Amino acid sequence: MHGTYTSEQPTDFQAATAAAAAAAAAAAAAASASVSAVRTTAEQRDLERESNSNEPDEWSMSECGFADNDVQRAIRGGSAAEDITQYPIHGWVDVTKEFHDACAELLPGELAQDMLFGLFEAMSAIEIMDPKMDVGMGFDKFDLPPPSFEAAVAMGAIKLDGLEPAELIGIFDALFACLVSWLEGNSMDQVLFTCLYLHAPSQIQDKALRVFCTAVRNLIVVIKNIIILAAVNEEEDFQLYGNSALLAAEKAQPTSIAGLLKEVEDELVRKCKQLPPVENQNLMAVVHRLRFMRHLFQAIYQLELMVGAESAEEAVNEIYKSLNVASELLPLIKRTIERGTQPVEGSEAPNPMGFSPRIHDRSQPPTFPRSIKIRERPASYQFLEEMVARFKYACKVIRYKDYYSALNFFIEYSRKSGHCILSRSVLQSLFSSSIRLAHGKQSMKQFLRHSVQAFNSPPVLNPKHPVASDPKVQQHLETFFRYCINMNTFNQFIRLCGFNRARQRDKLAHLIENFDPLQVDAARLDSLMNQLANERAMEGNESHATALKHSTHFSTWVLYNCFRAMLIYLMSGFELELYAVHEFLYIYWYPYEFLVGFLVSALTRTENILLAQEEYAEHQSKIQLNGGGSGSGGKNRKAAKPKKNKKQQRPYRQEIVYYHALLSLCGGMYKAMGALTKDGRVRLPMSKFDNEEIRYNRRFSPFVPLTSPPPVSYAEFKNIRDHMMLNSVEELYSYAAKHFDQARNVLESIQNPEQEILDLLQIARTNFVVMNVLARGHQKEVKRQPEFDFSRHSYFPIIKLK
Amino acid sequence: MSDLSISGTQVQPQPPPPAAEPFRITTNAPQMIDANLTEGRRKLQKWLGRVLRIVITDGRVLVGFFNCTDRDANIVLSMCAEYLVEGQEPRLLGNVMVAKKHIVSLNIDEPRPSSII
Repeated sequence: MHGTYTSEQPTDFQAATAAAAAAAAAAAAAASASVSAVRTTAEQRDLERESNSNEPDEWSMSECGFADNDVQRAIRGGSAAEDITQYPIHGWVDVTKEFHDACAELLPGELAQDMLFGLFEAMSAIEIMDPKMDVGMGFDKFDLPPPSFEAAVAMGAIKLDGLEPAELIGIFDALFACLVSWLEGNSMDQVLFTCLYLHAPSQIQDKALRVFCTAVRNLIVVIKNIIILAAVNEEEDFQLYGNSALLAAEKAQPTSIAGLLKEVEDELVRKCKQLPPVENQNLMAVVHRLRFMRHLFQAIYQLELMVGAESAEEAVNEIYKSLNVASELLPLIKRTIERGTQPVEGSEAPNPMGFSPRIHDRSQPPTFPRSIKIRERPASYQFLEEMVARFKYACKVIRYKDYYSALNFFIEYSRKSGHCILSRSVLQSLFSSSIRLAHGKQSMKQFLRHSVQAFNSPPVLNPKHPVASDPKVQQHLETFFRYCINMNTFNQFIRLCGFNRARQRDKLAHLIENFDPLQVDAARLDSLMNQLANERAMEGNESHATALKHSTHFSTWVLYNCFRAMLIYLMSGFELELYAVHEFLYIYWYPYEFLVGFLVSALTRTENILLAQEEYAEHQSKIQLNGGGSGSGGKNRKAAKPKKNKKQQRPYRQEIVYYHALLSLCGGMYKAMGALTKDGRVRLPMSKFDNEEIRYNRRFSPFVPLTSPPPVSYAEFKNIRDHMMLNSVEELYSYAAKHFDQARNVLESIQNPEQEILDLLQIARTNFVVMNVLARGHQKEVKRQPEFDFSRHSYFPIIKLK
Repeated sequence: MSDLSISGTQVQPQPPPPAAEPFRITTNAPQMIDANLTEGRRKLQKWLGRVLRIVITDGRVLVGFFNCTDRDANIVLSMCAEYLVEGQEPRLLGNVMVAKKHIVSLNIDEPRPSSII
């Protein structure tokens, strides 16, 4: 339909109409007789319509001037807004044959179109009988699904009482499967509310079923609230909007749920004891499911309530206990899935009774995604098991009382559990509740203050240090932290880790921009401190002056976090498979040449500051003690020597070693890519269509707004890269091998390595071998691009020769 | 194409092809009423903007304003309502396109020719 016509069509349809009309008018001179005949018939028809129409004051087409397009359009707009269900007004006339014959007269590509028809209408039209777009397809007129709960009851399609345990198990399992499908991002209507029982639980007579369904309804509401509050969902993660009319139908009573469930459980357990051992298995299976629902509900509900709790630890303990019981029940439940009524083969319904998959199709907007596949029962329970485990892991976040450790936890959590929206929301919720409970009002600001103190312990933040009470110092600090909060950068960084992996990169790009004003302000704060130091020195206040001098704490803190964001941003491109192989070279070059070095220097500086402060504090206390007891100098000197715990003074040692390893790995990859490129083993884009400068600038564009680190221009990169490429291919391979060897050494020095370290070790070892092999001239004749396998670590591939 | 940028001068509207006959659109725009149209085209023009009822192969009935068609009778309706069973509550679809192969019958809402006195 859009074929040849568009190429002939001038850009503006209205202009075309006018042009054609003008041309037609020129040719109409000869046909004026037939024109007037046509007009009269049209007029007559309109007069007909006018006399037939029920509204005498409706404008007749003949009364308005045809020449006026706007009036015409207004009228047409008016008539088009009429209710389509009012038609036919005159009566249906069969024109099937006439129509097809008339169409046959058109030329290929020619359209007969309404004057208001345009590209938008053409593109948004749903194609009938296309399964992707047409919902009504495939209906069986004589087997329409029950349209509502009431109708289903009247039809006898669902039982409200006297359900067998097997039926209960079937319905419960199907409901859990629907819940999981909903949590995976499908629409509530199409998944959960296909269960007719959920529409009106209060009308169910069977107690177990009634209580379970009420619990599910309340669970939905609580889960929705948590996700909305955490606000780390995007439209692909979760459908927030469902049929709110259905949800509102029965009042929520979350506090009574646990009690009701326990009641039913106890009743059924009593019944069980009276039944012979074979039969009570099914009933026990029902009890297990009710119990699981109770504890799951408790855990999630308590999360919502945590805001008003006394202490974070207590609240989380309770939640953890419930989660533990829930996870213990799951193996029992999984073993008894078979005992329930199973979904019929080929049917969409997750259970033979009580579910009507298409019931809401007609009320969805027409562009809504079609038939949702509900997860299988064993897979759903697997999901729930893993989800409960994720929640338990999330509970640990309350242990991390400062920004540095909390951020690390968030980053790792996102890596492991980043695919489940509820898990991410739960973590956000736990974290914000925990800092609010710990710091009270203005919790984030206090949290940041506390975090900087924990990070590199500036004396001005140390409540024990006299300089902290200096009013000017206080004022400067207050301004700085308020600025941090207003910029929202640090808050954003943590929340960012709650989004799904794909969205994180985008948001990181914006976040990095926001770091620049913060850096400027931190530098300003440090220089203010230095100024104050000079003032105090001149006043003779030695201790204050020393404390304030050489203050770099705040800029180091801001810079460190900024560098981390930059590194994560760059490396996330590998996980999301955004980089072409020929781009690897500069992506690895930047961290190798600059970024990792900055990180290491920031951390080293921090460590040195901490060390210096420790020594100074010791020195001070030594002086005090020695000064206090003049006679017993020897005894005091012994007492004045505190236990030096080396590890405590070097809290960032592990991380610095890790970054050294990263540095070598990046260097290895950089040289390896250089070698492979020079060796002709990398597929380069055709130079006609390529511009490396543009590519380079685009990849590093989020870094450009920063003053520190200063952006590195393409010319500089080119210089350095071309200099490296002067080496021979064999030399480059052996340099790469050396880097990988260095990495291996560093990684092997780590005690009690975690899985990530072991993975990196393997990568370093394998690549070392491959580089050596290539250096010695292996596969010299055949220049194939090697395979880059990112499966062990998302940042670094194992280079595999084919 | 060594220069990858597109400047205003490089994109020029193509001069209209020297046409022997006037550019043809069959539409119900008011100026077109005077055009010299063939019989079939005139009928289509008359029907454009009217309400069309299409019965399709799986038994559903679609009722909507006739917006567009082409040579292969791919019909576009706007404000379309879908009736699973005639007389029952319809579902509103909006813009809809029906291909010829799914069309069973077509009805136009217009006064019968015999009712024009």
